[in-house]
Amino acid sequence: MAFTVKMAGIPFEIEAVYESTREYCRDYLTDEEPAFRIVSTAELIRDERRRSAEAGDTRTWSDACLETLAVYRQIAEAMTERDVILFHGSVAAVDGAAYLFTAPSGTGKSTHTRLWREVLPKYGHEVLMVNDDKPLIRFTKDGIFACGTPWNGKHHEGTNTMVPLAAVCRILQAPENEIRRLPAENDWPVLLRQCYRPEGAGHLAATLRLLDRFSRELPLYELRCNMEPEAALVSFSAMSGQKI
Amino acid sequence: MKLRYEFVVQEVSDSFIAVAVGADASKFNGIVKMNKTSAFVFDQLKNDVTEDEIVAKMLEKYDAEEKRIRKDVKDFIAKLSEADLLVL
Repeated sequence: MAFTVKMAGIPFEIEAVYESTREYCRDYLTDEEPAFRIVSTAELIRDERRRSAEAGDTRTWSDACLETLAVYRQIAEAMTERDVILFHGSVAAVDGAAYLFTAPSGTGKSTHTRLWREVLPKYGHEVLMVNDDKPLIRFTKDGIFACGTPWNGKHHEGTNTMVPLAAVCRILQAPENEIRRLPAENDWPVLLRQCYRPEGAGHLAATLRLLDRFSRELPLYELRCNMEPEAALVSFSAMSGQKI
Repeated sequence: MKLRYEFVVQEVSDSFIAVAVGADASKFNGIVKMNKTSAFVFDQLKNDVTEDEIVAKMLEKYDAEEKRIRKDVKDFIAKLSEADLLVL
């Protein structure tokens, strides 16, 4: 069953095996003409199951669930041809600017953006969740944008929107809150680890070119933090340049 | 000797980084950081070459002392070998 969606400002068609995949993408359906097509098959779903097992994932996934992963993988590959990459991180937007928090799973990215949502409004700053888990990042002549997608984490925190990225921050757990700007040379290992790495050489080359632009245009910070409200103030004031 | 995996190389400011492609990426998950001369050596190693052949190519391209070139090539090859990136 085929349906057209629009993500990162680009419409494309998905041919899925399971109806649940269309349902998963319900906030992103569109009438626009697709720019490209993604086809999901039972074989690709089996492939995805194998990858999960190889990665040490012990959770039980249904085929329908695995299809959503297999589809997003294809989207990530195809999108590299259109100046879009897939990043693992939690993105929150404040005053029209997006901030991407990145770290290995379980470190506390979502916890930290949740803290932003609880704390910053008390200081007059509304926070919008763009994507809590796997945003697409689109590169245009007007800037670098963080995009909402259906793949936004287990609590489905996100919005169908595109917001210009202002900064990227790597998170580490620590007893005290501290943030520092990292020099550009430190970018690559961090960025590459948290970005989807395509399998095709051409797609990988495109990704590296885009990461080069990412690294040149966006400041990278390192935040050591706990789960206290102060952590939100420390990170926001440093990254936005606004005194709180 | 030649590189064990297929790589994509990206220029970043004055340096270069190499990332393994496809299924090979799971065997070598890291990045190789290089300057212009080591990137040239890296490129030569996409084919099966000897250290002497690499040095000869470099002498054609760069205006430097052979002794110096030989040392740089040897050092870089040692680094790659240490990371298990070369097939002899």
